[in-house]
Amino acid sequence: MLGMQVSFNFWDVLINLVFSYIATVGFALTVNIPHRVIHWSGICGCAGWMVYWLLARAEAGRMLSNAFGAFAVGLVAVVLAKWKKCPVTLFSVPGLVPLVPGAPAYMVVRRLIDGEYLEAQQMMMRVAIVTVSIALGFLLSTLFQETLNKYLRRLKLREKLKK
Amino acid sequence: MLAGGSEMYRVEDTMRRIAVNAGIKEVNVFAMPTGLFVSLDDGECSTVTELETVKKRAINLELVDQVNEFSREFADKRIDLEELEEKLTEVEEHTPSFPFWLQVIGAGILSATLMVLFLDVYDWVDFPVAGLIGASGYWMDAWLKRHTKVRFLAELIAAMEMGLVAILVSWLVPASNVNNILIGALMTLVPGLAMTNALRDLFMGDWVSGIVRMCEAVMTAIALGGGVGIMIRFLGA
Repeated sequence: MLGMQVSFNFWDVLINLVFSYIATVGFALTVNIPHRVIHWSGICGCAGWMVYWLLARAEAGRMLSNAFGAFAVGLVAVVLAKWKKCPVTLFSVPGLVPLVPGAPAYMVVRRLIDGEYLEAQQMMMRVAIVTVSIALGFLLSTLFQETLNKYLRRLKLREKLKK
Repeated sequence: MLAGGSEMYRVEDTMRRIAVNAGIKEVNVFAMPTGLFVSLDDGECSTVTELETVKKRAINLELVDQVNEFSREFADKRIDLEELEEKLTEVEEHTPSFPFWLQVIGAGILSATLMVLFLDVYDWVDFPVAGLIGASGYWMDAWLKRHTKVRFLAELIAAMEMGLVAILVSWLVPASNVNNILIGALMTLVPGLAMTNALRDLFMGDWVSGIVRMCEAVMTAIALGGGVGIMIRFLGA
């Protein structure tokens, strides 16, 4: 993985940036997100997708890139939630949408319809791995959130003691 | 009250905090996706236990945010208990929401853009088609949910409709690709999120709600796959 090479052009990056933002905002509309944070949830989804996409381009593997993408979504969501003072879910739910393994899930169905059970099983395994790695990445970001909370609390205590 | 698709531990935490701020000594909350128990003990003689079932479940983040906001205000003693209750009932009845057409458009752009992202090929033929079909499927799903009580039926029929339209389009426009269109269009209804949420509940130790949600996600996926499968099988794409 280290010493990897990433090759892409500007056009690719632009399209991925813009489309992941738009897709997240689109999903945010369907789950009825509060108006004031709709833009930021888009940014959150965008960040997660870009991390995933760059890692996937660098051939870091399906599991790692998904986990890191979800981790990035979690981080950005926690920071935004602290800043905007609202639940983390507001950012993490739309933010994870671009990472959902939609294409392999569809291919499972397609293979099953065509009667290629072995390949369908392989694909199903892939969907399972991606889902679990997203959850794991997100779990790691919760760890970060706990640490941040503890740190902030200590900071507040220290300020009180100074006074 | 908190049917808006929040995590279980957050529901329990919020309830506990409200109760503690209302001056109750011992609080026990047990929340499940299908209902929640609250037991309050004011330290004297009687314990009050209440049970409430949750029938309607849909992800509604505005609701989550508002309830969170109110409990925060209550904790800061800016509003009292009666005001809190009044506000909660009001939010429950009229949650401020986007107009429905905007949600449908959101579903449309979601499926169009996600198709491009997932496939990593820029096929501009399928782009608008996927958007239109995704939007129509979302609309169909929402419309059917209002008219039927059977779970997963709405998803099944919406998926059938999407499959049908996608195949019709592929007959009319030979350059398009049914698989690509459907990957994008189905993303509006795919329960990937419910699945991730379920895993998160499991990690937080909410076994019941995790398993229930996972079951829900799997059933939804089966309904979607079945719907599309029936159509592809019938019309042969």
